[in-house]
Amino acid sequence: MSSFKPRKIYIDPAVLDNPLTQNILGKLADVPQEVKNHPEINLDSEPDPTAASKNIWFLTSSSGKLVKECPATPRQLCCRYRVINIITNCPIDCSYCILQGYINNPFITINVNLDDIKVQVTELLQTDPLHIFRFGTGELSDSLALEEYTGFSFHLASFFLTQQNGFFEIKTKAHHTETLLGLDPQGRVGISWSVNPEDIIQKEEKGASTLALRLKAAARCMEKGYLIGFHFDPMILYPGWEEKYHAVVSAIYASLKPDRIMWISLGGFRYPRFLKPIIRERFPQSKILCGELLPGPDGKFRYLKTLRVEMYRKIVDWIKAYNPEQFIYLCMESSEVWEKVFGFHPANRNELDRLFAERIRELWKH
Amino acid sequence: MIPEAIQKKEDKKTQSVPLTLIDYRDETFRMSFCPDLGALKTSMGEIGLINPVILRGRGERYQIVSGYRRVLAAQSLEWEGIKAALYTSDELSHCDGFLLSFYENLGTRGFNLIEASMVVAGFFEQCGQDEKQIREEVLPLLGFHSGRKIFHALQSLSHLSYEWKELVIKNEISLLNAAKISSFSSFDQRAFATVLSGLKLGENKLRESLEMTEEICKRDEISLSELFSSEHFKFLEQQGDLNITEKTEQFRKTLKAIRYPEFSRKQKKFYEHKKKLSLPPHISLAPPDSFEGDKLKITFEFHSPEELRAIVEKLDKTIEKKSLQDIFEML
Repeated sequence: MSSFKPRKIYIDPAVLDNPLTQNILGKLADVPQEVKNHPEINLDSEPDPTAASKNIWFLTSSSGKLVKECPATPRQLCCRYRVINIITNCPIDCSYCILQGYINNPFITINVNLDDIKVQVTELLQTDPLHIFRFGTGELSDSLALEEYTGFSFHLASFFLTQQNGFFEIKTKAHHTETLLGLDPQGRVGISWSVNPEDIIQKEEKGASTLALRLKAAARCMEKGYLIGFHFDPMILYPGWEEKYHAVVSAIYASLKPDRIMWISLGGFRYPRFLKPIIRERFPQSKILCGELLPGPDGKFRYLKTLRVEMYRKIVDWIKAYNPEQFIYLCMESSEVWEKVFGFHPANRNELDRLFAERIRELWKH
Repeated sequence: MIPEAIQKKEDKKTQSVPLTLIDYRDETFRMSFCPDLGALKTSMGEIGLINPVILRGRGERYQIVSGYRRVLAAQSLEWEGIKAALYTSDELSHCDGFLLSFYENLGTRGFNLIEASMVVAGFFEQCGQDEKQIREEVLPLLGFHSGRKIFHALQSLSHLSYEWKELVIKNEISLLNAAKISSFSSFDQRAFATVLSGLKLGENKLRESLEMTEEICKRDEISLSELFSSEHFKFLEQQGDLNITEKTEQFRKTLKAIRYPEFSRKQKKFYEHKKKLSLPPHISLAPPDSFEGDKLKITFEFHSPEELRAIVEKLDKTIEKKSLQDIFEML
């Protein structure tokens, strides 16, 4: 069992009879449950209300739009990934997580109206049948952390297998892939792991699986027929980072076939101004704010450009040494940084989106 | 909520108590911190004591429930006794005594930051109130909102050295800055007080300096004392070379150069190249903010077409200079 079992579950009466709700409740019969429209929870007396909010679930449904464009940062090249906000708030507690400053509900919201999501996805796919749209559930939560209870990634992956122009990428820092191993992905569904050196995982990614477990899960999923991706995001600059990140790259290629690694993304640690006091208060031991992080034109703090470029160039070299053809992209970086790292830059987000589509078609052919 | 003993305070008769019977070292109920007794002494010396102090019997002697500063002033004025309302220890529990002192003080004066911190500690320790109660019921009375951050900041002030407590009051240092200083060891607090004594930092600059200091110490795993005793800060000990404003600027610059070494190197390099362009002072050339981006910004002012022509000619010549190319290459 994972460590993410809740302490209490609230259930919106409107979704009580939903089979997905019943499935979740059945698996957590020993957890206190309460049917309530709008749970009024005050975690103010908790020593860490944000951490406490991760132990309470609210099963509900949202009548709003749950399939959206990724909230890209202005002036940076966005990859046009579509986010499915099925779960909001994450049981993993990373020190650098931006959700700490965004989530204003004292619980994890789990929208069980998967059918509505499927309708929204289908509608979008039909707007341009020749285009390949990429979707993921890893924006406002981890896609697999609660999978053993919800099975959402399994359901969505099964659904995307029936879609001609929809690609589903499951993004995670967990290793709970058991449900997904029960599905034949036909080489059409992707699972990607966010990776960091083990010492960063231990210090900054509380509750996340170890690197070894993530890679082991990736290898099993690859064997099962999933396409595998990796996200070096956020990369942290700290003494000895080169050796540590190089070792992560080596570990990836030691356990996985290079031609089934769909892509690798790179992104330096960055944060909006409001996050700094939150990190300082919640993670006083963390050193991630001690880097040379400076405000950019979009208001976010990033490592000095020279340092970022050097960091990206090095890791690109290490990756290319294992697979010169590896599809690598930068997450939320300017054209200028792309140019310095790769010697080219996509003209705009549509071109970047097209490059992804080409890559997916190429992988689907094999 | 208000204890019976306090309600009956009005009925209490007052009497003069010899100062020798008052244990002024017992700070159980103390919630005053204002080292300067000058004004109070003058007032008591001129017109005597207006408001009697409140004492609580403890063995043969008395604890001060309310009026700590008045007792100290009376001592200093060499009075023999002071007018007081007396309670026995049975009449007034610790918590009641604390509440009596709190409401007495609340009604007659405001609390400074250090006193507010003593009040919070008192409600916690003497009255056994929990964080939630104190935040919701006490902090608003002290003029704060009931946030968790404020509560913890006030609590942390008890770790400030006496010297810093005085500085907080004297320099009106904000709660959050004071709380940050309180997280330093007493040795580091002393070192920081020495550093700051020769500088003039406003609230924002103090906050910025504290943040940079903390981050450098955490990053380099050194203590604050080690940082400020390093070669970089030798200029702080030198007399006469720099005035206080220049010293303050030098201090901030030095701190920034240590905190952001690569950025500072880049900035230095930029200014070296810029200097070689020999631009007149009324033409300013700036790198992109944080060196993020690849565009330079040039600004100038002119009074006449002739002046504009001269600037354009100057800029035209600048375009050919190698240093300009060097600047673009470093972006």
